[in-house]
Amino acid sequence: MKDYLYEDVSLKSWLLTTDHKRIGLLFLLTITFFFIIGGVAATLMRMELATAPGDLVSADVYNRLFTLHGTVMVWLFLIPSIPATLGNFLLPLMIGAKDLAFPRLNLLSWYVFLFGGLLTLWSIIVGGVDTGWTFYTPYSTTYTNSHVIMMAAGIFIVGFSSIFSGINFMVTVHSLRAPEMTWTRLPLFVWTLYATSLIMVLATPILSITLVLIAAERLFGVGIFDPALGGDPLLFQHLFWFYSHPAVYIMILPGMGVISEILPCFARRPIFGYKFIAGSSLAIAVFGFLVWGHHMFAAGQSLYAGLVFSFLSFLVAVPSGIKVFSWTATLYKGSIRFDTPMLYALGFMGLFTIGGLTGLFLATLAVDVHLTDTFFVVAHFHFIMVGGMLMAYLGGLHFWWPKMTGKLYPETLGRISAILIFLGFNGTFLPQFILGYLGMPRRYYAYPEQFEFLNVISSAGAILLALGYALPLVYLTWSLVKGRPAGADPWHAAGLEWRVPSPPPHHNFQSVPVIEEPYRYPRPNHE
Amino acid sequence: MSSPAELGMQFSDLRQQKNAYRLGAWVFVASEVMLFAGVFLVYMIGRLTHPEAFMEGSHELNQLLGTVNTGVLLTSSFTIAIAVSKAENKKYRSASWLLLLTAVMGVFFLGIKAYEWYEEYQRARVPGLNFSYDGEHLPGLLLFFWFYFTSTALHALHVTLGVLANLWFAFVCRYRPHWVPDPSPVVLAGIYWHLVDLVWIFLFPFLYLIGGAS
Repeated sequence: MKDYLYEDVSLKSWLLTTDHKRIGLLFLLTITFFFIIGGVAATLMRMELATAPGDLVSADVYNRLFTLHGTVMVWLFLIPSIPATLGNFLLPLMIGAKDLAFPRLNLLSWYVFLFGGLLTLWSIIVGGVDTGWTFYTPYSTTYTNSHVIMMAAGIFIVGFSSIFSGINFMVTVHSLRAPEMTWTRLPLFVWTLYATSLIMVLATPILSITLVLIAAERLFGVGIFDPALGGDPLLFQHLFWFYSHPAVYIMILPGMGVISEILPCFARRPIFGYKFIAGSSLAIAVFGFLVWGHHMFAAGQSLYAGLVFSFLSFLVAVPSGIKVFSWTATLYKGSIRFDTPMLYALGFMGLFTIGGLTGLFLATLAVDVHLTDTFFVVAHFHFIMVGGMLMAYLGGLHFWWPKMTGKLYPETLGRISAILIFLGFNGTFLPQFILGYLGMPRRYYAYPEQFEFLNVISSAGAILLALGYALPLVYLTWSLVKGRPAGADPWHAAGLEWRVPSPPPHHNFQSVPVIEEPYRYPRPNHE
Repeated sequence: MSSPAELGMQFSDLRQQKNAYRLGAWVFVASEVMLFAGVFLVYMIGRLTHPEAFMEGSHELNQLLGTVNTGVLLTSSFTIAIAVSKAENKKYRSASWLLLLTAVMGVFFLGIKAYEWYEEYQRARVPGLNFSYDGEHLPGLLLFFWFYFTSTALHALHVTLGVLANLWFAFVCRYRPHWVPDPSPVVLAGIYWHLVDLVWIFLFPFLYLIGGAS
């Protein structure tokens, strides 16, 4: 019986595959490509900011760089990162299904993503879009001379990919669970994918409409957002953040799911508070729809709206706190092993907590007036997006790499890269909190001399961070050829995906799998 | 293990497949509702900001043809509902005829809509093509007509897709009934067509009936 990688090795069999595992790998390749592009843009920005005067690139090029970095990282890397790669690969395996409910829709989702992604990339690199990833009006609709409509079209198309995945995941969780796989036996990763899908399906269409409106104002001069034409610029921010704030939870929720899988395995303890972690994922998805106004505290929104949005934003801390405390309690009295995935997971816990708590500073109305549009905001969301989601993504990738490829990677190099990334990340972004507090605005290519010291530390941290990212690219690729065979269950982990061979066969399960309670640690057979 | 040819390999039985398809259709409808919710939000804000302009724009539309079209679409929803019920009783031949009838009414709707667009084109009301207006309600009227063309075009796109789906399932029910192990596909076409109808039920009064009869 051949595994899914070798069942048919022709190019055609890959391009026309409907196997969720292969589609997961196609997404993995695609988003790695986009990640490298976004990373190069970030590196150039950090190089520019290493010295106070604007000397490496022009102000104009700097604007394009942060647009490129933000757009590519948010829409072409973070949004699809865990759901489209690990989610695609693991969801059917975890619930005991042969594939997703709509395999062809899944393949379409990849093609749509690829096409929309390349169009977006082309519009920024060739068309010179300089609006930032947020498209704020009226700059984006009236003033900039770049290919905004093309970029909007690209992201509009990418949105469909999200919606298709969301529909597919939701239906799969509802209707394809193996017999005996009840809702309370689902791995927590599946719960987070479900919560993520809810947001994808319900929020993405609003982004689509918003992008259409931008195009309308630019093309036809219809007054929607530009006050000069009778429109309202704040309306744009409402519409944009009604999608883009929930989108933050699209980016972080699956990461939380990955952490909930890794921690019990390397602490050899059942997860603490299963139902609370599952429920808090849904709570985050629901609250996430109600807090978009906290992006407009300083943008002329009414004080009362501000008060309500501030309060609701504080509420999001409750389910997030439930998760962090449950994870911590999972570690208590565990036999902890510090393998690579665990290092990433522990890094996630620390960095996500800092990112979350600084979010509360920003949710406080008076404090936000001081911090809005400073580097404090940049540091805050990078702690969530990079310290949180990217750490979780890499942790998950290392955890399931043996399952996906059947090969083990060099563990020492893995640990070194995890530690490098943790140190490099803190070096890059901790100084930015202070810079922001001191008043350095974001999105400027030059700054006063007194900020130079902290910026140098930040840029030096970025070098470590870049090294940390480059390492896995090398040794994971190396492991494909030279890695030792992994065997079905190298981590002695609970979960259905470890009960099938690595790499799994084409249709995952030969017979109806036996379902047990989730997170049965320590494993009865091994310890 | 042998299974019916119509059963996807990812499903263990036809019932599971049916449930998956139906749930998929409803989740898709939920997503579509959010899409149109965004459209209607813009309408609401536009109308609150420019009430007179929206009334003037509304009075310029052809109320008679709009009403006729509403009747056509409502009737087509009725015929597809009967088609679903016929399919559920395995009467695929009658289901096929009713689906065809629904599709024909959909085309009729599109024809009337296209004629209305042509009328508005002749009155120079198409933003980006030939919009010109000298009155006092300029930004509001431009917004109204942009909204009118965008929302009705988005709706017409949905009608077109629905017509194609209905034609396809009419063909399948008539000539390939063995492809239809259960009435699911027809039910899906029905769910989608009702969504298209529902959106129009909102669009019609929003666009044509502001401030009473013209």
